[in-house]
Amino acid sequence: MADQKPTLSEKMTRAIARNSSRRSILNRLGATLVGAAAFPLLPVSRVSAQTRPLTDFERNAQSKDPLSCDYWRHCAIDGVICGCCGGGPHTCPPGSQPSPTAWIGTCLNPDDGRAYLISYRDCCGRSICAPTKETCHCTATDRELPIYRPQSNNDIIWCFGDTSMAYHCSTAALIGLAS
Amino acid sequence: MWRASAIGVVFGALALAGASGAADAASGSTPSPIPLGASRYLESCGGCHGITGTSAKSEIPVLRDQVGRFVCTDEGRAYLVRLPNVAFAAMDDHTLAQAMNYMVFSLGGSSVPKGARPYSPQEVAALRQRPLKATDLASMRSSVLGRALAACQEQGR
Repeated sequence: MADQKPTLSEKMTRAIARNSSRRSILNRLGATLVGAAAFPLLPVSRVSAQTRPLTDFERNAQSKDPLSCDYWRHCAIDGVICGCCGGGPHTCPPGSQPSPTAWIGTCLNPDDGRAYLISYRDCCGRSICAPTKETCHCTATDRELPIYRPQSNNDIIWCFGDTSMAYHCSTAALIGLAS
Repeated sequence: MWRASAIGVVFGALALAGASGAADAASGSTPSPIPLGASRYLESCGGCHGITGTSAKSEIPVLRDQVGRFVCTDEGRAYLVRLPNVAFAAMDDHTLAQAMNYMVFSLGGSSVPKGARPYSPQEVAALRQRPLKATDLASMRSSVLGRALAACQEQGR
């Protein structure tokens, strides 16, 4: 004769059945599925969602000190920062003139994770500026192409079109948000 | 003299951006992206040709209110895409078509003939397969533009 007393496992199963319903389980399961699907739509930073790996420059870029080569706008600057020479990010130092031509790069802003077009316009007409601060002399190369694609190379002096080819320093003016 | 050059030099780049300073401002609103065609024009062409389509006039052809005249003829229309720097640009056909349309129809402004159709990715794809091989591009440009200007006149432009 089988024992008529309920076993421990039977007791537990019955207790669960009394305290829950199929509807509540379906509700929780549904909420979990919808929540998981909606999560990627939340407006969180997309820096980590870049489709390409970050460059060395982008990994180390900062947004506080514009007089340093690792300032985010300087991802493709090749020369001396005009801000170290009495000018600014979009102004030439006294005695030099902005070239009518420029080199345009695209830099990632670490604060919002978005790419911005930056115009590196050389200031010309004076001999090269020589600040003592080492971090004012930059050779960044992001998105640069070899010299045989000169329109995409920043090694050349972008003073052509000016009255003088004498290079003094480079600015880094922000044009806008890139597509 | 130096004061004028130091203070007066605020580059035209900022005019295009409008809300350009926002990128550095922690609390500022994010500006709208520049449309794809304009963005790629600026990055690949705007350094020399200028952010607004004009720069060193004596050395680099002016685009603003000028370049639209080329599309008065099929030859001129093709010439613009077959230029080596255009045909070999690091862009896919779709993006290059948008950059061309920004350059010709936006920067070209008043020089664009009425009824001119935009470049399609298919048209750009076919044209860039035939890059120009002329060694004297300046002379070729002069001939192509001469015929385009004559056609523009005939069309009442």
